[in-house]
Amino acid sequence: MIVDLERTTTKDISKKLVSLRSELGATALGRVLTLLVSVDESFADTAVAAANDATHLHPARIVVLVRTEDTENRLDAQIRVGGDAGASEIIVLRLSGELADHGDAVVTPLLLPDSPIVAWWPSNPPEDVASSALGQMATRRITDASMASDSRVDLGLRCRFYALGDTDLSWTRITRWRALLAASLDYPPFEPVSQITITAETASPSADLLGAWLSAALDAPVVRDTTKDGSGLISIRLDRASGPIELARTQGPTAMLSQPRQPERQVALLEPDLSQALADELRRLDPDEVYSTALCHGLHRVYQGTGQPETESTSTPQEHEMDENSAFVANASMGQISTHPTKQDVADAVAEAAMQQLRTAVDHRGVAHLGLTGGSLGIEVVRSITDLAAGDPVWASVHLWWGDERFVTRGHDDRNDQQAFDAGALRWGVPPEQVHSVDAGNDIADLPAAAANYATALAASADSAGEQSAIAAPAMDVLLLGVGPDSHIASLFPGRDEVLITDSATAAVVDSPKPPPLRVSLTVPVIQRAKAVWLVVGGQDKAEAVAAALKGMDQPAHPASFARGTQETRWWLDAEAASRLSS
Amino acid sequence: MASTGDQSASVGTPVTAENNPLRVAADKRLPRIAGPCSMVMFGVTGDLAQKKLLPAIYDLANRGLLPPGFSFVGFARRDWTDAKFAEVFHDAVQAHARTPFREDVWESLAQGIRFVSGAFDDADAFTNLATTVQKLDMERGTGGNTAFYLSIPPDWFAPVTERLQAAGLSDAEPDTWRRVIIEKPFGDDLESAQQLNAIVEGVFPPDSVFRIDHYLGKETVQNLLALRFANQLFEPIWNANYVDHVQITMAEDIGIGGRAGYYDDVGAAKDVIQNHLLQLLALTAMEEPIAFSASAVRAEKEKVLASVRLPEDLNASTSRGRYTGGWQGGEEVRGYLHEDGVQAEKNTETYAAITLDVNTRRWAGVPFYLRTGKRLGKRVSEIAVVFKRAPRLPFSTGATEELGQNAIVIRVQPDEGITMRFGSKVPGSQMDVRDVTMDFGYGASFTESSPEAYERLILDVLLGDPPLFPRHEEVELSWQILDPIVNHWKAQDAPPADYRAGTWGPKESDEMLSRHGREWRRP
Repeated sequence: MIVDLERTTTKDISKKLVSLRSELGATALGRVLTLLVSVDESFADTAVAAANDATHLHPARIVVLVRTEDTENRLDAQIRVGGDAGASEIIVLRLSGELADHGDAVVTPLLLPDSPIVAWWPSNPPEDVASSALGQMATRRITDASMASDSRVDLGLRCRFYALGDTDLSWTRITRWRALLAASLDYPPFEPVSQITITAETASPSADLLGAWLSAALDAPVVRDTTKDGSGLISIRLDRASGPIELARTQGPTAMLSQPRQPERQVALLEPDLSQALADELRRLDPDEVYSTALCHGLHRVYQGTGQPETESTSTPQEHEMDENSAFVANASMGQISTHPTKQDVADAVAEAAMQQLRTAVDHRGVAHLGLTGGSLGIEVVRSITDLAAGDPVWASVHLWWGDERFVTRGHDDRNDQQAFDAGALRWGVPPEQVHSVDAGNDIADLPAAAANYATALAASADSAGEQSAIAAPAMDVLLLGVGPDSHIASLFPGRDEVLITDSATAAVVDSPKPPPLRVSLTVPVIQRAKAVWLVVGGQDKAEAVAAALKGMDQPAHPASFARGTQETRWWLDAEAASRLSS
Repeated sequence: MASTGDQSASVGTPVTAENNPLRVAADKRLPRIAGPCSMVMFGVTGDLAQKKLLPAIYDLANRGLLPPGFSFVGFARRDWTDAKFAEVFHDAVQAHARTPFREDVWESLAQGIRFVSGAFDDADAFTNLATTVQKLDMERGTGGNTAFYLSIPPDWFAPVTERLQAAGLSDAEPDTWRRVIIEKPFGDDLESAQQLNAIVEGVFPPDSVFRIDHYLGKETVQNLLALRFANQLFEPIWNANYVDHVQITMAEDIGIGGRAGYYDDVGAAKDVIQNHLLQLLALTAMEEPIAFSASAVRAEKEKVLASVRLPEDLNASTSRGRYTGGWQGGEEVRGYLHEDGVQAEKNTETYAAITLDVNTRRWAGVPFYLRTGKRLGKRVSEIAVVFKRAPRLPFSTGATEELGQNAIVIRVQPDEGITMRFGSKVPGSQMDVRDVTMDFGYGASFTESSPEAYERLILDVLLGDPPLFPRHEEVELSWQILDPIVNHWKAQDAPPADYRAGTWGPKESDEMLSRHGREWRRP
């Protein structure tokens, strides 16, 4: 039976459910869980059908939240019970206008008492699913990285914001592969696996997770070979002394398992469809620790082993020779200047130099700190680093920081960390606990706490020299800074008090002259503690500021004139930004 | 910041026989896939094989639980080729498999299907079988592991196991296994059961003999242990202080069909009570096992079976019946004596009800009533634990006139689930208390998808996981319980009481309970 309720409220929906229950017999009482589905209009029917199928095994109340494009505030509902809902009871809620942002409030009265809540985002999940309104209600949160435009970025977010109870359908889909591989190690010879080779199409979160799981469990390096798009997961090879175990997909949903001294064995290897995968997922509602291990402790090994794109030879004819051992004073006063024809050239050169710097630091100390900056050129640098070195082993030892951050909600396009993530930073392979984002928010009342938290994070990573000084912060191996046309660096704007702060590592900035108004910034002392401060500047509108900053030191009207590192200060300029320099 | 679970269990531990780093306890979604093996089935042309066993093999393959290279050898007297047998297999799968038919799954299964033609006492055929099994091992890597499924009448167990031994098929090489699966009836009485056991265990070690009682593969039966021992709610009242009596029912609405040849010699008590109902009794009445391991569960089951006592007066505490013709479910059906091949002078019962006492402190004074029959009101299996009435009711007698006894009913089939019955006030200004039921069902569609008992059991055999299989000792204890009753009936040399098809058995059976002031629950 299908009942449509237009322009309704949850109260009326609940009433209708009760009356349907007495008309049709006990429907929801035997349900074992509430499944919340958050979906776009375009995917709603597919998701409902899959959820309905999947819940045959696990009778559920399915509440589907569909966000419509309509701007009028209204709630339309459809209730399906009995023959139209199989073992389940389906409530489709169409949320329009502002109401679309308050799905949690709408579903609360419709949750089954006592029984677990599972939230499923068939596509476009929030970045931090566990903290999202629906995610907070749910004990189990299901995403699907295979639906993301860049699955590695998506998995990066899943790890970054991982909370107990998170899971991903791209992980569910490889259970059968995992079972076969696990079974292959149940029998002799019992030998260590020296290398794992995974062959799959480039964008295959399932292949990445499979490799991550194997690599973490077997503690062996992964080689990730890529094949053409659409080919899916092709094969897995585990190298051992007596010969490799290979599980390779053959025609159709079958695979061939080959092992040394054994005939090749064919085995059916079906990939579960959406509803099967979901049904598998609903079978267990406890946290999947194996998934989290693969996600957060294995993926970087896979990315490291991914066939890296050829590095373009970056011809930088105008680059001044860098003096590795340049003395502090010589540097600090003026800094070195590297000029490149275009912004792109600047970005590529910075990326390459930064990687060198980080490798050297990791070689010497086992750890490195990199400070990123926003702005178009800053993000271009991130992109170049992604192209150059995503998955490089060095990232496992690198901490990421930001020179400043816009205090807006998490995932907001204005956020510097978000822009870096979008440019591929999550794919570099930095362990998530080493990515130090500034807290997000949009309430001015929360701003001081965000600044304080960032200072605490800096202090926690401070080296011993830093701990002894008043402001504790690590000495950045490379701190990238942009320079504004007004000469601001980080969120230190000309003529304002923040520029002069010396007793704190971070500054909470309100009424920033440049929107958005609320920001968190590193202060001058932290900037000046950096080993290398690199100012990356491009564009004609910056030329004046660059010229001014280079003329003097520590002028509050020119915050860029405070920028210098303990070992190196370098200005990376494109031709336009360098146009006002006297040669 | 990301927080991750405990990962110490798996990371980087070495691969050894005891430790597979890819298989950690926390990885609950990883299914156990049977190791490399093959299965040889005797009696592949039989009804059970066609309707249940072969489809179950396919369903296992379809669910991805069979090992790569799994091979299946059919053995029967037919003059079939491998291809012909594969065709028969295919038809059985298409007709009866639970999961959807998928050509590619079938293709990969079919590559390992072989057929060996011969009689069960034909030495050449067994040599041929040995060669086939060996060849499969070489070609398909079945790892030297083979399970023999004897889906054949027990009379043939002896010749088949002897031939298996003679052909060298029963001896496992080191690091490999040979297992044998036998179906009920496990003998005809205590003596024959012991003989049968001597034959089978003379060839295969006790740990390698798997006795299939498909009832024990059912979800609800396994759930009985969860219900009792995973909850705090039930176990405190699961004893003589609160329980009045227990009824265990397995009713069938069908007649004997074409099975007169078998059934006429056996009868309802041996066919059902000895195995299914006594197993259900054991699971209902047993103490908490120290662990959910095969040996611990078995130990408790054996204890409770050993403590079962028969009442003194077997006439008053047992009842047997035989169905007559009638109208059942709108269809006219024949009486038992008019079924093809039935011999009236055998006095075979098609209905049996018995009373048992479990002589433990927990159950002292609580009768267990067991009943089974053909052509009863409907097809249903259940365990009903009926509780004592409240010792005192603060209501007027009028208010509680309609209040019965509280009960917990475990529905084994169909509509698997649990029902609780208790009293509730009837809405209105008066205080009237009436029985209501509260229901837990596995869900309308769940039963369709829950695996067939045979799937579970066959997989357990291949995995070597024995908790669900009765051991020889349990079989013997069951016969010890039933033999005196069957002998008592035989000594009477009189026909069983008649009952009309489609009813709930003979009136003697009702009297058996009414003597104690009780009545059978209508399932």
